[in-house]
Amino acid sequence: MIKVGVDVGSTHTDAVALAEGELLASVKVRTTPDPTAGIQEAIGKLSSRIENRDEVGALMLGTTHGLNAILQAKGLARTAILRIGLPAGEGIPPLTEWPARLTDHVISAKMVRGGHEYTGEEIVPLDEGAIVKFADDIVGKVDGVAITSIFSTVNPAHELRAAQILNERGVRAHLTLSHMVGGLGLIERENSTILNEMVSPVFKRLVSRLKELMRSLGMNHAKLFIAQNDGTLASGEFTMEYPIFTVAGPVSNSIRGAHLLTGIDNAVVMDVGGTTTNVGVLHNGYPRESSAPVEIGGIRTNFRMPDIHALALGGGTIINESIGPESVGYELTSKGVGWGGTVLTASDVAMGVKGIKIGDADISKILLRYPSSYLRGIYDRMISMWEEALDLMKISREDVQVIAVGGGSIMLPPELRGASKIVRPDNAQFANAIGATLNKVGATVEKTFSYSATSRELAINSTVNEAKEMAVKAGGDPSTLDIREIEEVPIPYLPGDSVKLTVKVVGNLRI
Amino acid sequence: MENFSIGEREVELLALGAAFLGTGGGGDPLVGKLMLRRYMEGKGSIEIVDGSSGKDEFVLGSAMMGAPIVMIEKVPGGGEAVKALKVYSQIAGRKVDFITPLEIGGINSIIPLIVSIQTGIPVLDGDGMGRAFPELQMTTFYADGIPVSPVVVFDERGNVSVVQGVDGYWSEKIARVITVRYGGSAYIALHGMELSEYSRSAVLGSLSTAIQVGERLASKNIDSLRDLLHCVHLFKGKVIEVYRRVERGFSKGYVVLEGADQWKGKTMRVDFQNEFLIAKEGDKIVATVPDLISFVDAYTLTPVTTDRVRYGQRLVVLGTPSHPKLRSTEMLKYVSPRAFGYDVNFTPLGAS
Repeated sequence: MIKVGVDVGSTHTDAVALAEGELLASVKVRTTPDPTAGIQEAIGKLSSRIENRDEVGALMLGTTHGLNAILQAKGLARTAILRIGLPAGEGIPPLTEWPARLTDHVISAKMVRGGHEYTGEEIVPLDEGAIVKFADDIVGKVDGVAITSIFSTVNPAHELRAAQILNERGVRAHLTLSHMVGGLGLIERENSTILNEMVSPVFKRLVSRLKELMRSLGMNHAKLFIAQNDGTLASGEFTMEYPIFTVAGPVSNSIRGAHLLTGIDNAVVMDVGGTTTNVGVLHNGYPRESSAPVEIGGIRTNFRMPDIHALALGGGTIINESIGPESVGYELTSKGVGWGGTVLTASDVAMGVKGIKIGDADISKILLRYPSSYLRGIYDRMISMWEEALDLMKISREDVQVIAVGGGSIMLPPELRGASKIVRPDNAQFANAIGATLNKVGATVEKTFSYSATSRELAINSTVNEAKEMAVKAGGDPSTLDIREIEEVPIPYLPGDSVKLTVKVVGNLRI
Repeated sequence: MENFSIGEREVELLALGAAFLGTGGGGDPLVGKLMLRRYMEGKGSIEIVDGSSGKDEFVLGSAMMGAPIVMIEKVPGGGEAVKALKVYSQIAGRKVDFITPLEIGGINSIIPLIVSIQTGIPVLDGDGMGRAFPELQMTTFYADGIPVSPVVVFDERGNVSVVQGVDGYWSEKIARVITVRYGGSAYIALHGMELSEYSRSAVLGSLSTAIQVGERLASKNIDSLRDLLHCVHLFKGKVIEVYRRVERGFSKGYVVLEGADQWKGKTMRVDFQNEFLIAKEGDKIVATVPDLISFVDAYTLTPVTTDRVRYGQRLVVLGTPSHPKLRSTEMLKYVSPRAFGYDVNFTPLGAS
């Protein structure tokens, strides 16, 4: 079976075709303002180099569509918002501190009585009459409705009943219920639920266009998968329902790629690109996640994203008094000294010192203009920057393996302080697109329990089952699903061994 | 000290400073900040009043009680703390002239400001801890004989309970049970007192100090922070172990750090119970509660709370001498390491 991987980066869109791990073909094109055009171009070019397109079993994509749509507020759904929880929650109504470019797409935002306590009891009974009125107000006027109820991750009953009422009143819009988006923290979960509804049409269009493209190229047996925030993949159908899980999808592609290219499970990954070196951690085969809250386009959400340290040092980084942070970006091959230009870049320095050649550059042009001692001095400072970034991301005092990937990884020195060795896999420049083909699916569920009311075993089992159901929905093969992480965080100031329980399951995709 | 007023920028700095003085407790201030900013819209600023003199005026404490994690999900209706204050005022038969925070740290440095912007009642520049502690009896007010009770406990539905405990411990215990029955979070009004008593008992100036701490952290100026608080640079290093468990409703545990720079080759263990309580370098105790033990990110100087500490973080541990009032014999009964169940005496910073 052949797998096609696509990665949408800030400057380039890469596509690769792999057969049983062997790289068959690769393509690099410029990322287009609407990334779909670049993706279509890359897949089109790639497919002309694949003979048996019938054997393509999966098209796997890491894309910035969700992020772009939120940042540019383009192509978004006309959205209605229902918050269930009054008399609680009124202190911070829905959309508090949202930018106008996004709230312009909101047709109605309403708070009604209802919601639950952390124990699963009702705060007050659900105000069904108010939901009927809300439904009648929005019917026929909206594309989607985001429904969020207090503690719905503990008890989703009011969200489910609200969806039923909307349906009974003839609201035919797409619905997102916040307990499916998950996570504790009302404001963050509600924000994510609303964003999910807003970007939903963008993904409907993307998925249908990609399916069309696959058909027209003769990839008749290919299934579509899209990279998720946590370093796993999900089916095109699942992504249409929960597109918000893909917003940081491409960020972890390089880490997954480093894992696929080397088979190494634990290492620091240094992805040297045109503008930055992204340093991430490969932990038991997955990207390590950051514990910090994540903002998307200025809106606080509850997603956990890969823990990436972005150092402003890449191939196109401009050298003058200081090293960066500006970069010539994709103009490296016209502006760089080695290519006959006038801007001294990090690539020029590395070539001059290491005696290596990048692309069609001419090293003598660099050495003619700059004394080697000067270049050496700059390069030593670059090494210190990389070493500091490595030290920041390492997780133990022992030296760690470093996997170097990305188009600029050739600039890295043979040794770094803190690195036991630097592994440089073949095809490192395509690590991101290759990373998109990692055959993993996953799901995370977060809930609160009181272990004196629910036994720990029952709590964990039911949460694991819920996560597994979610992973199957995302396209997972049930027989391969395994628990990757169980985290129990005690909740202070509550009685009866109260905990926040987070379960993550992973497995393989059904392809 | 003098009166001043604070706007949005100071609120941001206050939250940052309070996170530092909260010594790892208090949770995420997001909910409090969003609420406060919303109520401040169009109303301008909040008046902060010097509480060091005065007599025939009435002061009331305002706070949130319960689990911060519940509050981030069951977000307040917004009027609970104000209603609690009104009920207290009725019961006591007194008009409330000033509001005071009970503690400086996390959400409870913000709640009194929310009440103030809604009612127009000014906030006093002071509190009863000069930092954060987990229980009601752990205040300078209580140590000075000012009763905790009555405690008015209010929830978003409008349920009101008035607790009249025989002492601070009973008020704490009963109010805690009510809070749990309300769903894990409640809004309280308590510690009514005359301004003359307040002037004598409070840790004065702590709100303005918190704002200044926030300013220095935001400008990443650790030296000026040291000048301000006379704090001691206890350690710098990387987290190599975090252990947590729940005991009697408290998140207990410890963090072990491995040294960097001048502490290379050394380790530090810091025990916590919601807040950081005891710091040991090797076998030697270098700081204990009630002195303040704060963790900040080594690069950004962002304060790190006990629930956010994780393996691999690079942190600086700073020790700040507590206010002399917290070191009094009477106060140490409530806030020394022994009050938290450790078989350790209070070791004042700088004494060893």
